[in-house]
Amino acid sequence: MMPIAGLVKPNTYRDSVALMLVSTKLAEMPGVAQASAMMGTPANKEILAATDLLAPTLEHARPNDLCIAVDAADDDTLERALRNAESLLAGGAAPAGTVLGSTRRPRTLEGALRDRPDANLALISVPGEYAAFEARRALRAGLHVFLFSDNVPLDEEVQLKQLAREQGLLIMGPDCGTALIAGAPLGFANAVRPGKVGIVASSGTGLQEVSCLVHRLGEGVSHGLGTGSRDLWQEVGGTSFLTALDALAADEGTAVLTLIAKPGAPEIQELVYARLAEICKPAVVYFLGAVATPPTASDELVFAADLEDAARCAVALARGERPSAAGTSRAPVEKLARRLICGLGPRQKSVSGLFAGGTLAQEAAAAIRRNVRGDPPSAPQANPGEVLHLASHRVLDLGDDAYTRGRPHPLIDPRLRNEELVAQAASGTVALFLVDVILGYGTHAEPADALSGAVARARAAALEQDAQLRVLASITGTDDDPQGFGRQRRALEKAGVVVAESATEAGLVAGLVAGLLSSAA
Amino acid sequence: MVSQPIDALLSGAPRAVNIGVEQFVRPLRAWDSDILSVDWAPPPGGIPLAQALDRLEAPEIAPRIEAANARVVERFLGARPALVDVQPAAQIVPLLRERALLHAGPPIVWEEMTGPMRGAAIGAVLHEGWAEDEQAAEAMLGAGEVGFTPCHHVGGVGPMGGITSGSMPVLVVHDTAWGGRSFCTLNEGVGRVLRFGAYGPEVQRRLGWIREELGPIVGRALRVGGAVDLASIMARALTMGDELHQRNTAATLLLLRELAPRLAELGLPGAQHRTVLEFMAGTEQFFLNVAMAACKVIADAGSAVGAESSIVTAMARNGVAFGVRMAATGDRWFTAPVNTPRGLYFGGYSQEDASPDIGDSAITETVGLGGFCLAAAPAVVPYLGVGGFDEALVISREMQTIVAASNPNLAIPALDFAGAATGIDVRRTAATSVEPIINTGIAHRSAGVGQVGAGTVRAPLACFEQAVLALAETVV
Repeated sequence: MMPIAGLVKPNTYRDSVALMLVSTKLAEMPGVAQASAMMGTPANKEILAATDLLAPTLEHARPNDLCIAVDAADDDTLERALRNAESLLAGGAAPAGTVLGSTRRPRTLEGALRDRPDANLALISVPGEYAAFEARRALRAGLHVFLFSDNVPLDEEVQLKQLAREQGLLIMGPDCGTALIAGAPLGFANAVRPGKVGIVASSGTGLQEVSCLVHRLGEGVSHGLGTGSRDLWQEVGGTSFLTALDALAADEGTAVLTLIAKPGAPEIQELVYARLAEICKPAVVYFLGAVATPPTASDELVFAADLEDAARCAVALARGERPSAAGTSRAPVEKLARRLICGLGPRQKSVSGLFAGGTLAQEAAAAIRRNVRGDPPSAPQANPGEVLHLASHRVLDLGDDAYTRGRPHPLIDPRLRNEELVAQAASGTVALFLVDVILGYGTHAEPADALSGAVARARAAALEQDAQLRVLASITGTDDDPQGFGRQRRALEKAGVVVAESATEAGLVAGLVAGLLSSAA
Repeated sequence: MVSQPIDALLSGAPRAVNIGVEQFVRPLRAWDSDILSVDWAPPPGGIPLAQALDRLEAPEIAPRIEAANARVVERFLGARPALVDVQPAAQIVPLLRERALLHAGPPIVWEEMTGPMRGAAIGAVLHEGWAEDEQAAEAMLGAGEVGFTPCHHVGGVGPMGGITSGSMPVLVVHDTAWGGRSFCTLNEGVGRVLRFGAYGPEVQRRLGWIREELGPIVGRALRVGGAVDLASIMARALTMGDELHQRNTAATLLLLRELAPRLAELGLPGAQHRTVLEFMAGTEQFFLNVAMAACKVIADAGSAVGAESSIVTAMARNGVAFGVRMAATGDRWFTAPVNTPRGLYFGGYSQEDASPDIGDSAITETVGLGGFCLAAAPAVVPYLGVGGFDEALVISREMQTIVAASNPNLAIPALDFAGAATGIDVRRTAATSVEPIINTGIAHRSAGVGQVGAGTVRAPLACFEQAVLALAETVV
């Protein structure tokens, strides 16, 4: 049993991302097995208890107290870790006023608006239970809202969107991971050049992937408006989606509309189709798992087969060319699939997707499902983060709440995926790993490096089982991103990872590989 | 149809306010260099408080509160306190004709009183001649033979322990604008004094002199020579380095300038005339008690029209509990345990010796003086143990974020003549978690020792949170 230590900082608040960064830094220290920094809410203390990190000193922490828990090899390491935590927290504190007579930072939106009366947008990412209060305050003050927070109750979302509509305001979210307003990145967004393609999306990673592909294909994005993942649900009624659609339809800088949505209610999808009919701009639509019957496609209204297709069609329309919504081309995909299964060990029969982006995971899962005949899962999946479990093939969305509760999102912290990769490789049964690497503002600074180390360990583990490690990655990003698309691609290839041209292509390859493996079996 | 605001949003880079994750600010700066980040923290009052604030912000309710606050602010800013008389307290407060005492802060019983208030009560019993000696006085008080009532309940205020008995002379202040009246005892000077809990022979001698000579003489001077306008003295003193709580040097001299000719009219014997003038001139805090009575009459003027208003009309401490009154709920106290002041100590004393926060003098902060205009009084900043003048400026500005108005009649030179932050709004206090600051003297925790230092103390947030919850229930 390794020693555990806990430190309580009374009445000290840091946001969850700041705390996750502290947790990550502490866990990376030599000799530290696990570490966690979180606010002392009852839910968080449960998480600490579940991971054997609830040191006795933390038991009486209150919700406004900051808790640091460390599990380390010895007492010296513990002490060093706690000292390090203190300095990390001090470094993360907001700079105090240092100029003579300077004012402290405002504590409320009201205070901020006194200093910036012409503000027109509130970025809100406070814990979910407080998010609706802050969002309502912003809407009442006449501000548009980008609501990153998740865990906002559905009825609150309905009320907020109703209020936004009454006020003539746009609310992006809750659970909106990304947006681009005239190129300005909100949340986890990529550096995408300005251009004619306007995107509305209820999928955060979908918006990121399509905007990056548009950029890499040489065009640009006017605005990318997120709506939150539940916007097309029956209860919410597509309020933000329709508002954003109208806004882009009227926007002079937007020549082509691109609509990307997660599964929603058929009535709401029909509502979107009906609105599209009234708009006289060319549009590309990609609805994952579309349920409503779409209207007839035309040169001006294209139904894309996948994310890459959506981006390609949007680019064609932006250039005044005729789009062909044929889906992503099969020939190079098939060649790559055959190359990947060459020389595998006899026990390597399954495909394993380890994703940070939910929509990318779903697209890959759909590709595998198309290629593998098998009984659909008889019971609902036990694990909500498991997007697919068909025959021996599995796709996990590691960004799902089931994995991120009390832990950093894999966009920021790759450890969970790395551990999963090494553990699964050690089974010797995985033929192909499929991963998504997402670049952009706010995400991990060197994701390729972080993955490369794990790939080397996974390769060694696989070899012990006489298995070959095959990893296929997609990179969502651009060369203008802080991490650099080209640089990340080279680093991954150097580590022996095969890099697909897009997340869609990676999914299609994985699907073909799964099909080939299953038919061979 | 696209609304004008949405059209405007897409017409250029956003002008954003960030609330939450700090990591999102940096990348946005390239597009929005003025992006502002709120220093957000979950409210200590949790979800119930957030719900109450949310309710008070509803479009059908917020304008009503704003209108009520505007009425209260109009009263605060328009009040015209004048010192009109000095009378025995029993003349002003009928219940003091019985065996009863007034005390500072919200209600408290003898058993719970701390050292300074107990000592002052013993001293008052001796002063009134109800008991022969200290032991007898304590026995009488312990037996419940003396009634206790908060000064605030009878329209007055009292410094530190606030102990006021019937024969003690009190300064009587009238509001010539709105018609209210308030009172406060006279300042006893420095050294061993009743307000800090001292009650020995020296204290008794001085109380006797105040009762027999100083009080009646000043009263007569005012009746003969006419009332003294206090609003103008207070405004001027603020530009002369006073904040009218811990520093009243300028105001005391300005008052003396008004009183001296009036005293000269009385034809007092030379020695007596001289003693009265010397006492007032030598008691730099003489004006504090005058200011307290003035602030009380201002606060009450607001309270009288305060239905649905979220503005604080009293802050007072009894050594155990800190009490806050809000205009919307009139006489109701919202209480929480007092904090212990932090500050600088006289030689030989330390924080260990400090009595918990006590006194009605926070009425000055209630209407925008004292700690709320700390920047007006650079001279007392080091004395209060505040970080430095820079910190005083920061605090003064911070107080501006929790009030409803600034008072143009009370301009602060160091803040570029910004008006004093006036009218504490319980909603803003609870929403920002910025606790009102109070400048204060620090009493020794034991009875009879007296003042051991001076500093600042914060009003506990819990009082304001309770007021917000009550307001959310009241306004329907």
